Amino acid sequence: MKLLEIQKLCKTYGSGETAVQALKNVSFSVQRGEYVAIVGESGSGKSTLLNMIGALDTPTSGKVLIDGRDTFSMKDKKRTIFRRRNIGFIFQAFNLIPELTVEQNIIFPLLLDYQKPDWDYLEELLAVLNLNERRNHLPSQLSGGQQQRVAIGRALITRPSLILADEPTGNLDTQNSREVIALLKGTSKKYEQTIIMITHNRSIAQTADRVLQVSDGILSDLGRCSE
Amino acid sequence: MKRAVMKSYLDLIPISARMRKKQNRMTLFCIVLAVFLVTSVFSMAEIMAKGEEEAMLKKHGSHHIAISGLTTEEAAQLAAGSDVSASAWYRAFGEDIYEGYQIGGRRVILYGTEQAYVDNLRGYETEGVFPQKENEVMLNTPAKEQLGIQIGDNVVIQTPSGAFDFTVTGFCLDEMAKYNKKYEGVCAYLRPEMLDSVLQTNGETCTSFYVVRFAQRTKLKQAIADVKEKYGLADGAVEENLAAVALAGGSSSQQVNALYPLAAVVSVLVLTAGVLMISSCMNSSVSQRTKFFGMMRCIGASRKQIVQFVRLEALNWCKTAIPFGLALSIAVTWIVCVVLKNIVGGEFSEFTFRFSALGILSGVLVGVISVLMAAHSPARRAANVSPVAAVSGSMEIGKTVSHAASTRLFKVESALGVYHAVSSKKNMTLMSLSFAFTVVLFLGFYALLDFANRLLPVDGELNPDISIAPVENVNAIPKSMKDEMSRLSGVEAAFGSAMAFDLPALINGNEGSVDLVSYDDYMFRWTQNAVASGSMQSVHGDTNNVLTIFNKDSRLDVGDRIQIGDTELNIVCVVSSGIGTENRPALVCTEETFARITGENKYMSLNVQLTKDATEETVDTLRAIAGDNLFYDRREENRENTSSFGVFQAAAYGFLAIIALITFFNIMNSISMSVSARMRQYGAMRAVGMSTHQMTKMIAAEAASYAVCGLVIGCVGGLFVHRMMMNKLVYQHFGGSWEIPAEPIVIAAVIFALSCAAAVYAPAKRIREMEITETINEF
Repeated sequence: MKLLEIQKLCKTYGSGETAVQALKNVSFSVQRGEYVAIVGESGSGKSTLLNMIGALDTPTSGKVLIDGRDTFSMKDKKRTIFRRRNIGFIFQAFNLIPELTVEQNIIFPLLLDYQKPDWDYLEELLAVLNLNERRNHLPSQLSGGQQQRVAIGRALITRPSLILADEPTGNLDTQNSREVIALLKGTSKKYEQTIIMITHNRSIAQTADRVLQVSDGILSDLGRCSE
Repeated sequence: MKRAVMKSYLDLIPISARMRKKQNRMTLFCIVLAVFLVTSVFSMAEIMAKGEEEAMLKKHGSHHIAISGLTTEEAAQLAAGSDVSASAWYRAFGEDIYEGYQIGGRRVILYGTEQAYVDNLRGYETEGVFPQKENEVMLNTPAKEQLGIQIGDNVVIQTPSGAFDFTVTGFCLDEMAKYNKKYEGVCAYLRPEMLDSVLQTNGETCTSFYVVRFAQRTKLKQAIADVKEKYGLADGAVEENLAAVALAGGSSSQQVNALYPLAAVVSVLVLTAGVLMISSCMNSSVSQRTKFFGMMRCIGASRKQIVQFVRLEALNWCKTAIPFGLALSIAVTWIVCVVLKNIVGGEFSEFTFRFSALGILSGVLVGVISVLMAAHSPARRAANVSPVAAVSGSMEIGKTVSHAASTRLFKVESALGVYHAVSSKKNMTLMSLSFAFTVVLFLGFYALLDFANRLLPVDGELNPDISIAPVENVNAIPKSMKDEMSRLSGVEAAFGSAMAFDLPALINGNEGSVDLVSYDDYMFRWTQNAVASGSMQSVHGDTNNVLTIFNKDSRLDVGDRIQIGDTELNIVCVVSSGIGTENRPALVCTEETFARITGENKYMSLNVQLTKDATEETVDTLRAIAGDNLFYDRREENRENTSSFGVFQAAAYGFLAIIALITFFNIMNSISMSVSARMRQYGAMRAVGMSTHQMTKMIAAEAASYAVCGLVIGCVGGLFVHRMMMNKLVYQHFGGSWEIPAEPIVIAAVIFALSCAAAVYAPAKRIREMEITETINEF
């Protein structure tokens, strides 16, 4: 069952002679629960693609359908609410709120949606992320791997159907990278979530169900890395 | 397990405020400053108004009307009315002119009145009791020292028809003792019937008034009309005490009424400046947190939620800043009151500190309003942060650069700095206008200072401490008296002038009349400072060249010719102020010219300026030399003028300092904001080899661009305002023509330069102390 469908997506920055085509007629779809890695050179357009999928940036043309709903036909407010409830983000730089504890950082998206946290689910997440002992710590008191686990917890708390990760292991050492990926994979299976992850790391890309490559704004499906 | 409960995303605000104390310090300070200023201004206005009100009541009495022609029975009937709170008989003799009545060789003014007048209606401070019998008298306090008498002593009032013996029953600090320093005699308070008897013996009469104060809640106009009707009184028989009536009517004097609009204008200025200050602080804070707002948007915060977040964050500061601003203002107001009352004294002696509800309310309102208004733009700015900023870390995404920085005129780092300033037209306009606003305020205040300076002549000008004049208005003081006085120790200078009034003259061929005044060399030397147009260099010795004192009715000007008798005088100079007359065109000539035209060689007015260490002995010697001439001691009046001007100057310069402070914050925040927005770019520049010195120069060039542009726009607007104010306030009344005021412009430029230097220092230091890689990653 398709969760995400991208139709003829184009993105052009600038105009006239200075125009740069970041994405050229990109089309693909992703199944629910699938774990997809996007690889490509720097400047190839993969971050632009992820921003379009996450409704952070608007395409020049084409459609992004999540669960059959066209995100760019929605008004800004509706799109924000849709994003809040259906998409979880994980950044390379963690982007945690330094003033909030681990627990507060995780529940923050729920508070933005005026929802009461499901404390049982939070406990479960903290256990899965191995952050129980650290729940009252500030981000500055955590290691990089722990911070990224908090970011994963924040992305999972709203039970989104789609998780977008932009080089989530970019700031982590090998051991932590491996743990974070295992965690992401495990949670996506457990909560039936779709993951789309940008990575430069070949070995991490190999763990994905499917690998997409972006080169000069053109997307090609490499299929399973093991294939 | 104890859980840190967070119920709303807005709970982040106080948490964040605790963590970002250092970063928020500037914004908090700005709010405190705005609240402090407005509260202080309104509190001081209220204290001044109340002080003025009390002073007026003390000066003019608290009675509402003085009725003449009332019989004793009618007065008793009126006093018994429920709407009358106090009443007494009152009559005065010898107040306006010297009638030849004396006590101990000093002039005496006689009052016939009752205890209620002294105690209740005037509220004089008294010692002893009011006369209960016919041969008893109460004297005003100065008499105690002047006559060397005590309660119980006997005094003799000498009248043209004989002497009257009285026993002194008390002393009172009356209006004459307190406010009329020129009067050097004493005042005697007798019972009304006793005064009648004294006057009868002398064949004199005086008008008898029955003074009445109505109860507080009485409708005054109606009550006065009722009294007139009931006792069949003509309009002229009822004299209203305007001060008390005006105060009871809810309004006070014009001066007091003018205070509140003035305070309101100042508050609007403070509000505007406060909004600018706080807004620029908040903008700076927002631009430093682009990543945070981008992340908020990424994880689902709507624009509205971000706007609300920033607004509430601003209001959260009010919780601390407003009480602090109020407390500071109350403390400062109290100190100012103590200083004004005890150190400055004079007209400020009635100022007593009180909590001003109006001041506190205005402070709170201005604090909240300025914060809400100031938060508007940063909140929108934060809401407009693209969520992509969190992912990519740049606010600059999507911005296209249409042209390159020009490196022809400047070195590359300065060229980039200027380019950064001018690249955003909106920002450039706002920054320049905010700088320009400062220059306009500066020039406006300078015009006001100039005006105050002319209204309140201060030390160092032709301002005598002692004035001597003949009893009659004639030139009768010999010039030798001036020489004698100027030789005394303690005398800084003595200067005299002769005057001839209403001389028939042909003014530019038209018949009219002028007053002619002679100045000596000392007076000419000081008058040099008051030259409005022309030159007085040619006015010396026996010459036909004269000056004129500016008079808005006659408007004589340089080049005008005045013929007095056979002598044709040329006006070569107009001075804005001087010793002369106001009724007619006044010509000022040398003593030689005056003697030639009028044939008179004596002075009508002799003035003395004392040195700072002059003693009372000097004054006594001067008094002795003056002989029978009228002797006016103006030292107290001068001190009051000097202190009033000092207070005005302190207030005006205080505001100028605050304006300078606001400019300073504005520049600092704007530069800091600009640097924060370009931190990655700066990091990259450093990575490719830009030195920290070059970095500082680049930021300085940006700051200087705003300052120069603001200064130019400000000068255009400010000079227009200055010229308009000077024309209306100064030149119309004191003469002169407008000149570009260099001083305030130079001061504003210096403040701008210093602010820019300080503004550059902090961000440059921030960049210097950061690792290059850190700067690149900072967004």
